[in-house]
Amino acid sequence: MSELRTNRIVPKDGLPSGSSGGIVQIKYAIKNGTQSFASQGYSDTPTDISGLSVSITPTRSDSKILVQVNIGCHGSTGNAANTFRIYRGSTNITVTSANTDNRHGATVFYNSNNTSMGIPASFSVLDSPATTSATTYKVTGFTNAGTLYINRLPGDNSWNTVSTITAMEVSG
Amino acid sequence: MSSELRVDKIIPTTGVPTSGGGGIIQMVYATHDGSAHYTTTSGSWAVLTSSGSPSPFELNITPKFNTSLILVQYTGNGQQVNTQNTMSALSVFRTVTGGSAVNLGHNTCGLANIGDYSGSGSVYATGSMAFQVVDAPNTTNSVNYKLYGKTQNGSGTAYPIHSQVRATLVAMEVSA
Repeated sequence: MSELRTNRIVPKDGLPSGSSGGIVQIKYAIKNGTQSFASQGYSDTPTDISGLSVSITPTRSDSKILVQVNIGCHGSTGNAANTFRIYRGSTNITVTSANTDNRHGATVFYNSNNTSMGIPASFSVLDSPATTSATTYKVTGFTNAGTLYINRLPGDNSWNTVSTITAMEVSG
Repeated sequence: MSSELRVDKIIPTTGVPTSGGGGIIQMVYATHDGSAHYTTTSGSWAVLTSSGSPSPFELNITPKFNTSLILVQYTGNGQQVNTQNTMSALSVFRTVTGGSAVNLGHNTCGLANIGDYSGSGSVYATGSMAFQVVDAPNTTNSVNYKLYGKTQNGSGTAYPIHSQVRATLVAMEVSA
């Protein structure tokens, strides 16, 4: 048994331009419970998904953080924009300034047919927090019609999934 | 105390596991900010382009060893073809410098797809399109991974990468 302790992993000759190195540490969280979101307005503050957040303390300020999220979800009605976002602290890191209302996010599911829709939501972002302080990543949910359900079906709370968030520190 | 490991291969002391790999040596990524769709009307696999950046949606990585594996991961959103009963499909093609493009997904629907088959017409569905695939390019030359799309049957316009949602393509070299 051997153990290697290091804060940075890069190729022997250094990092090629535009690339990153190895993974130094991983933090993760699993949400087992269910949650539901009532319809909100486009300019309302999106709602946090409880239990779907991680705090990671980068070992170097030049590290990047790869955040990956998988959510089992279902929208109760058609013609609804169901949106998820990733936040670093209070900062939305999944959309640009050109995409400002709540219909824009890290992932969206929508069906113009007048039926409910279930879909796995998988999304990720590569962040450069430029800090060695503890950094929290959280996920928010939003719908503009009906109800957005996390980890369950609309009409039956006995059919469930789990949702996950993983944050990896990647050597910069 | 800060330390740095400079190494081209990381494997467990007991060796590389069967059908697996060791540590990650390097990573490259490409991100689309959601400013425009990537569309195609082709019923055959076609390079996805956009008025946004990057176009095409691609990245390049040069493995340190020809035994290395490349873990390719993608997340984004897609929208079905704007006609009923067909789908938008997404895949990634690998091209080693000097070689031909190889589809890492299935020839029919690739690695991810989205469609609505309710048959009522004039409907469209938008949703998560994500995949991960492990590739063994068997080279130390530059390897290109590029996103391709198609419609299921060549009817209408496919939206394998929808706008307004950030899409991310990542390739990691895994020691093996």
